[in-house]
Amino acid sequence: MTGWSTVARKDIRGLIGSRTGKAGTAFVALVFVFGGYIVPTTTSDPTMTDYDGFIRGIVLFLVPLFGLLLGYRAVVGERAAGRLTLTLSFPHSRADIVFGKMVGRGLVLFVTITVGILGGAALIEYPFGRVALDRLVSYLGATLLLGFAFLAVGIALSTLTASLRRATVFTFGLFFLFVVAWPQLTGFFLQGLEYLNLASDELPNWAVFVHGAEPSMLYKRVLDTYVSPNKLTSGAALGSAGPWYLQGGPAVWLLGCWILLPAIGGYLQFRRTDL
Amino acid sequence: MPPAIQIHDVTKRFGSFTAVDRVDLQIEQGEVFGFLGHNGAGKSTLINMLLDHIRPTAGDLEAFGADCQTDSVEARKHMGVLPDGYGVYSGLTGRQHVQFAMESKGVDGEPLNLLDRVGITEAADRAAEGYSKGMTQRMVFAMALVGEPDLLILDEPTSGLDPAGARSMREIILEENERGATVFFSSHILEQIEAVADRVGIMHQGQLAAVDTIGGLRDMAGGETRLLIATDNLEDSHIDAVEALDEVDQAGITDEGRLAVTCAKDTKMDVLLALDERGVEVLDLTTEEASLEDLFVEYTRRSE
Repeated sequence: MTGWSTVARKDIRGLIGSRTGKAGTAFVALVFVFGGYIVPTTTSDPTMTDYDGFIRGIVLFLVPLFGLLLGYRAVVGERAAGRLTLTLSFPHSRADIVFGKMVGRGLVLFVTITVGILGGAALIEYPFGRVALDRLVSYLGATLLLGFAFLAVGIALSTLTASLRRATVFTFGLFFLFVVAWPQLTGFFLQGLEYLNLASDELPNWAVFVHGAEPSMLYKRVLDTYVSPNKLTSGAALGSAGPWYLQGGPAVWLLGCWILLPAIGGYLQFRRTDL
Repeated sequence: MPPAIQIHDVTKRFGSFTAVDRVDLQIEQGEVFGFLGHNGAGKSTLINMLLDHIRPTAGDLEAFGADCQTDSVEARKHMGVLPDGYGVYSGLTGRQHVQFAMESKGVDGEPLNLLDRVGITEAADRAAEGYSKGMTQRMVFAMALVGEPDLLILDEPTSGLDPAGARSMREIILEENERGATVFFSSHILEQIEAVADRVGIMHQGQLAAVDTIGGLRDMAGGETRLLIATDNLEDSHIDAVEALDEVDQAGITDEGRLAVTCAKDTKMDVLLALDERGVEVLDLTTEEASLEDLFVEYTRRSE
């Protein structure tokens, strides 16, 4: 069946047809390019590690926000405006809608981030820098995974309710919790666990794992393993000294789960509701 | 040959509100079926269950033998739908909308031909968001016509259309029926239904109050005629004599002093003869046949 691809194509056509869609994607791509423009002015012989070090702080906000914004209206926006009523009057299944939108918006996210990062990497490489291909691919892959994870979470949120306002509240609540608050909560966890006599002085590894299972923390761990390995940090990223489940490899798989599980959960939720 | 639509004992409740109450209905292939009811009577709820937009609390629905819930994509392959409460896609033109419908149905063709058929050719390359209500309705109707569907499901199709637009839509509906399509359409406007429907279903407060041909509904509702007779002199005894006739329901005097008689259609002459026998001269005679409107009012009152 070509149902989902028809939905995906229409979705892309609609996204790039709107002015906010064009402006938003252009902005995200330009931030990545701009990073590549600035880094060589402050560092001699820049590499992807320098690039990552310079823009990681921005990327940790920008990419989750971009993914969520691309995703959170996908289903509920069309539903509230009656567009789903029209789409589902044709021989499309609910799965075509959810997965078609994921593919369509995923493609927009893929192109935006890829173009941005390749542009940034080109400015690093030329004229004085050195971009190692494996680092570039790792960086690009990790950033795409982060974007896809938040896109999937956004689309899942957008299947939960028929009210656009409620979806907006969910989305920004989640953004605040995951991206802004969660990484800062280490101290609270430590105190809590100490109170329960489960920890002393520092978080036990299992707690680091649980705390670090949030997508943006996973992203940091993946980058610290594959792109900036010389950067040893404490907390969620213990470097190669830590146990295997705190390494970069499992973090990649966990990020994959953050794409898959919300996608499936969102579909199952959407399948059983009345429009 | 499976029926075009088979609805079996379908109920839909929203919380404690029963929107559709134990509806049974079968529509054969090739019929034009008009679905009549006030706003909120449950027409759209029933149609949305055919489309699997909402799920019945109990009962099942089929279109061309395909279950509308478990096999809804297959069911909708047979359908061309003009739904209620839809919105158009932002950023897409009228032509792209029809294009999307064609891709969805897996048919090739020129979108312009369909836009031409519904009369909005000149707006084909404008964004559909800027269309008037009537133009939007025509565009979605064109989308419904894509791929010569076996079954047209039209929910309040003429809403937003001017009288000329409504007439041309009726003509297309009849053309489609001529081609072999079954048509199932809802309306709260009686003339629309009277003009094209072979059979009519009256929906009232979630229940299917009556299903019949328009002629059959008339007969069922009594098939009665109201005579208004102007006479030269009229006495109470004359009225009693008329009322005594078989098949006369009621006789009385109107405010204008005319004799009003409610009777079966073919009793008209008997009434006039009875007056003539008593030396009453008939100066003028008008008849009022029960309109579908009267029938509708009568049915909806009866089932309350």
